Amino acid sequence: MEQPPDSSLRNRIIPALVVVVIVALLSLFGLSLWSPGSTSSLGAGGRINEVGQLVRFDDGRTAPTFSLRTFDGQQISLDQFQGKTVVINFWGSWCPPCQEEAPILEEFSRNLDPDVVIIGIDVWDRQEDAAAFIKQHGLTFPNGIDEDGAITIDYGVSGIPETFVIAPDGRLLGKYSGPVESVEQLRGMIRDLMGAG
Amino acid sequence: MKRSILVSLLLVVGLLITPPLVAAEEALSPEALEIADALNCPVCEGLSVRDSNSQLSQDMRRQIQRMLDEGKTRQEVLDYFVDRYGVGVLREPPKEGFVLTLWWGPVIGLAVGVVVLATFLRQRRARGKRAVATGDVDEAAGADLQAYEQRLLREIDRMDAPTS
Amino acid sequence: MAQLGSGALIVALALAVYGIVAGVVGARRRIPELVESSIRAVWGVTLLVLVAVAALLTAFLTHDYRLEYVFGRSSRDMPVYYVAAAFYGGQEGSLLYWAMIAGLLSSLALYLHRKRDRALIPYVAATVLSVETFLLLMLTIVASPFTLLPMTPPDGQGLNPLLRDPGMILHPPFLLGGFASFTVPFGFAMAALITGRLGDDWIRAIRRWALVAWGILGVGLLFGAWWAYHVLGWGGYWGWDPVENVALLPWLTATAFIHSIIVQERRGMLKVWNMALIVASFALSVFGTFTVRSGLIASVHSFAVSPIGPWFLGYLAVVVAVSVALLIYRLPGLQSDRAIESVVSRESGFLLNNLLFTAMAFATFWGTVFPLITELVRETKLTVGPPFYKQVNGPLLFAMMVLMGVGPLLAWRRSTPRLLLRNLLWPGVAGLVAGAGFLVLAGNPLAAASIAVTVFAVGTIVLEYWRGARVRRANTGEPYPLAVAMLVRKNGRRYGGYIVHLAVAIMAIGIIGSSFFQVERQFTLRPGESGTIGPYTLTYQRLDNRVTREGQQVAAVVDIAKNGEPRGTVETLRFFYRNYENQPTARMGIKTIGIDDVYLVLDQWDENGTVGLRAYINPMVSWIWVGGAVYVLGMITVLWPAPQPVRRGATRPVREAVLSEA
Repeated sequence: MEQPPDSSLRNRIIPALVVVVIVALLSLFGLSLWSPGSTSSLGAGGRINEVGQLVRFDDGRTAPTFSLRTFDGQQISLDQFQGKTVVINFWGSWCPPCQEEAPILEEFSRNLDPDVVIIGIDVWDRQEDAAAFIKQHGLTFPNGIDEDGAITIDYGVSGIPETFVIAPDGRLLGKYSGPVESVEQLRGMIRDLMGAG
Repeated sequence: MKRSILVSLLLVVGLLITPPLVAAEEALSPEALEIADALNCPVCEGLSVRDSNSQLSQDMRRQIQRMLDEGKTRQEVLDYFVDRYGVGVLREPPKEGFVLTLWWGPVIGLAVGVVVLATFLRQRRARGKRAVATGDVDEAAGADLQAYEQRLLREIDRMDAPTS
Repeated sequence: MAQLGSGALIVALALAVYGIVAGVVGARRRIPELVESSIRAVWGVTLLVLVAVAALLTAFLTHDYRLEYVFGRSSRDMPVYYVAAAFYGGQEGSLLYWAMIAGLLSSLALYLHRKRDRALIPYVAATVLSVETFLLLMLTIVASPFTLLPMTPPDGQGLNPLLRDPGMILHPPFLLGGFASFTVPFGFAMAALITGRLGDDWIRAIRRWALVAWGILGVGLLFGAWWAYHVLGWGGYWGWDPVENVALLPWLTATAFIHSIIVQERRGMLKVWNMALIVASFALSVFGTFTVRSGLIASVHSFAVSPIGPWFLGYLAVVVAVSVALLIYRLPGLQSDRAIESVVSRESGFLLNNLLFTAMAFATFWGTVFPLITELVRETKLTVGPPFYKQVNGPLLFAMMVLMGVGPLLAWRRSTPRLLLRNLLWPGVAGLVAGAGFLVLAGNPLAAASIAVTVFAVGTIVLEYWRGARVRRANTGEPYPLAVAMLVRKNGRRYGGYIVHLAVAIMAIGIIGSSFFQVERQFTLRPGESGTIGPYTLTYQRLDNRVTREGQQVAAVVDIAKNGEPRGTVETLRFFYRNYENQPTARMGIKTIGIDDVYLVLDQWDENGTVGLRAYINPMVSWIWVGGAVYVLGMITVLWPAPQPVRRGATRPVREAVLSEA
């Protein structure tokens, strides 16, 4: 606002404030613009995690239990794997990174340590598309569709692929959002999370 | 146009490939609808769980109803989702911690505006008092409707003034 | 075509740069020929941009899929009007459209003002050309709409399904046009600051152009709301989404400006402030374009990530830096001629109005950028949704309605409280009665209070019209209807302004009705079954599956009856366009019955024809569209040139002569 000519102090303070605010805002936009931005995008079926990101849960939370009907008709539940490290992978047939990831997971499952289990959970998908996906990639580890979405919600999944690691004592150690790049990377990640726990 | 593009995104996610019709009727209680409206659809941009038609939102709506049926309170349901999806899932950011800045921002902004305005008015008036005697002011004409109409006439007349 | 288009843009860029130099040098050295050539440069640039636009349109209409832009946004099966609309359906085209509107309006402004505002003109031309230079730089280097593909595909990919809607033909041109048209007032403001001619010259020139921009942008926002309501299917018309917010921001600051400029005209005050508002409106227009184009705010929008973001940020920084520096440099020259005499006066009414609009713009801006701050500071993602805006902007809007009722009754310089109270009596009584009646009927105190202030504001407008007509009748002997017509004709600014106020009140009633009294229900129905919502019975007839030229439609046909009486049939649709099958879009089934909109969304369906429907009753929404029409009417009234009366004494002070200029 205008000031009479005599209040030169205010004539300087207000412009100075304006300049400070504007510089702050522009740097904010700049920082946001150049900071590593989107790690996910919106795909046909839901959000797709494109860039890998490891999140560690330090609060010692317990992994929500669930039971799941696999595509080959078995009923499995998390409880039956107590004492083992459980790797849960959330995927969907419509999600391109999941397609890239599937062979890696299959390879991982064929060379498992005896105390490690991997389970695939298909989300936001159609039964027939998912079945075709499993056939296409020749997946042999247990995979099932989360029919009412309860498991997905219980694990707080908002984008796929996403891989969770559960300790033998049932603690949920952490999750990796985004496609797993290699068997070694997945093994290293599990070691990492177990070590921290 | 910009908006349309953003919204196109909403839709891409908001309206998934036609999902197979869920057999059970989605009978949501008013309370469940209200809670669904307080949550952000995690796979959309800008839509609430209530308004989104994404698979996840449908599942979340059913989950809300299930929890309410089990006797959980509104707060318990909200906490359940915050635990899993973070505070970002709330449509109304909580008035605590750092987020308080969000809520106080406009209040402070308005307060600053009021202070600036008040200072401005006081200064102006102080200077204005000296100049007051010069012009005709409503008061001089007497405080009745006649005065108002005279003023209006003056104003209208002035509006009719030449367009240069 | 591509060569012609990109060639025209390159020549335009060179010409724009030349024009800037010519304008500045011409003004400094006082070489009228150079100044004249810089005006011509604006016209030339506009012409060249038009050539590029024509080239792009021709490419679209002749299905020239060699052009990447055309290939990505149109296809042979699209109706011709969507093919033409696809022109602004993407980043490159919308920038070109920006450049075109800015060019056309600037050319017109320069043509109209070149004689009268000689001193300002060279700098107006230079500023406008600098805006064009930036846009043309983008269009030639970073985002050219004329990029060629290595081969010519037989058919295009088609337009994004969401843009294939009648609302989309109108919404983008108005919104972008509104943004672009702030270039003209910005040009005049910069010219005034550069030349130091801060008197009344620039206001006279700027006011009408600011009104034009404000009006166009407002219409764009309304079309956007209409489109969202008919296509997006959440039962609402405004979602406080970041992209909507950034479009609202310049409109808010422009609204503040068109009010406070009146104070400057009448009383010679608020010069710095008005200048700041114009700069802010233009900067916010650039910011709006930048935000969406860079994917800055909703950072998950990987689609929007484009190389253009940093360029726009840089440009925004330049615009703001130059304007603020000039403003500070000219501060002493922008002192008021006069002072406020009383707190109870029209001046302070306008000041309060500006406080409220600025506060609303600030709150909206704050909510929109806050997620950026949390992400940087806290590394958590946060969404600021409608609850924030409703709680913060709601009270501000309420205060605004009160002020809209009081403001017009305040006298310039000073109002006598007693007289003011007497003036407020009848509108106040009307508001109270309406509010009380509404409270009894609907039982919602908040809604009743909102209705009360709205009716109060309408009361003031009616009173103002009645008073004006009475005075005029007493003065000229015209009968009332003629007196009202003459009032509007001869005082378009004042009484047209009241028409806009009326439009706001009508929209307010629509907003109050739909936000307080929306009802929602969900149904799963087999053909022949019905469900009820409020007094309405919805009978689901059948599911139609139609194959169209562009793809497929699924339509649920629903009969609507009110209290058992048939009121017609609506279709609620889902579209599946070729190449975009996994992005179905929709058109809602909306039936306006009395004050209610019965609003149907088709959520799901299966092979047996069973459908999942969501139904809303949205009371009063149609009032928003009616209000929109009234807004346009008011805007035209304000802008309509007043009849030229016989010149009175030439000695009349300039400021008063200026008053009748819109």
